[in-house]
Amino acid sequence: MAEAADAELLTAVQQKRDPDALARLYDRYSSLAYGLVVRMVNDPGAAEEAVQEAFFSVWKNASSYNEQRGSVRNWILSIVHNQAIDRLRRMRARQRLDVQVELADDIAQRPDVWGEVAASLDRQRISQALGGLPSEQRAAIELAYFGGYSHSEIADLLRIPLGTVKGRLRLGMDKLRLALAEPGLGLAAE
Amino acid sequence: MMACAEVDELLPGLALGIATAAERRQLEDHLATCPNHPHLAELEEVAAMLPLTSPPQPPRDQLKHRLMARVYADLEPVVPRAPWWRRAGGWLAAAILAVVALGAGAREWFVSQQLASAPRSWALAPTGASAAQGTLVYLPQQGTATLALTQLPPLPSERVYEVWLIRGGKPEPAGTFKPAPDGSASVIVKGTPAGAEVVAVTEEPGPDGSPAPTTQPFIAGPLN
Repeated sequence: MAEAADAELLTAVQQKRDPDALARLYDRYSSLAYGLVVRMVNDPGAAEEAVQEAFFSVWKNASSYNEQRGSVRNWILSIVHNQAIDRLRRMRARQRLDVQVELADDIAQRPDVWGEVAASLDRQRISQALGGLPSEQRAAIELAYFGGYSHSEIADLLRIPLGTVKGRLRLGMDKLRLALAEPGLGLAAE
Repeated sequence: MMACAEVDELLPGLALGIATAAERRQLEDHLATCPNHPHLAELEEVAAMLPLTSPPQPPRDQLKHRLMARVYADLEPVVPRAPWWRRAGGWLAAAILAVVALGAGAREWFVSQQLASAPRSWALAPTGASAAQGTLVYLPQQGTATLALTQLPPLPSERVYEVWLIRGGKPEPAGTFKPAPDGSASVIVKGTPAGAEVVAVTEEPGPDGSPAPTTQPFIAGPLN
């Protein structure tokens, strides 16, 4: 079986309602998705639910993918991220959670699955770019993205003014954007 | 209406998925008419790469089973209601049958009609030392059968797995496949399991498999 491109698989999901195409996208990206959600919600059961919801949403809403807004992988991961944020907020409504803001240092080398191979170059670049940020900007971004905290919650957690939170997120994200805006990454340089 | 400077301050939060509902609404209103913030797409692209900094972790195999079961259930076509004159024939036949069968027989007939169109599934079990597990799901209305397998042993590159439906004691080839790197596979089976006695999987020479099995099945299940 030849390796179909992500976009072809997504088209098969959308136009032919082909479950096998969805299964193959799942095989490519479920480890990335699950790794992300486990880090965010810190609960394997809730993480499985979020991953299942996200891939079912890929199945139902494949037509909402717009290739001009980025790769299929990034689109799937943003759906996964939204599912995780929803769950985090519901869990937090019940209890305050300790969020893992551990700084991702060396990422363990694991046997690569197909999607992993394609992701490894991007992974290296984003990890380097994130590692190059001043720690206060990086912490703000990680609290936002992985912790799902709002601007005002981050201000409370770090005991800094709201404006400082927005400033750190903005400086940090702009640096990442520029660091990644090099040829070959699909991001336009300014 | 928000000022552009205020919008730029909130765009990273929007891209990171943490804007509140109120912030999101105001931002969307502003962005719908203001061309001064083209870098939102780039910020979103940056945010979408952040998951790559978390170590990937394979979820349990059951998760794929649950997802695919839901997907197949969703595939069951919604049968549009036929116009009454088309339905009348069926009702008439049913009514006559009900009279003929005096009640009890008619109920059985209805039940058997429902059973004939309900999705069916069968478990497959390893025949030897293999840890492989599998389920065959058959959707009669759709006419499709799917075999979901996990923990398949890895294959040499020139070999494939082949599915067999054994009908009247004779194996019919029902498709070849290679497992995903995690040892799972989800295969659309060629041919119908209706009337077959056994479904089985063997290892065969690739890429096209064999017309008849050349090895013993390592996983199989009765279809009754």
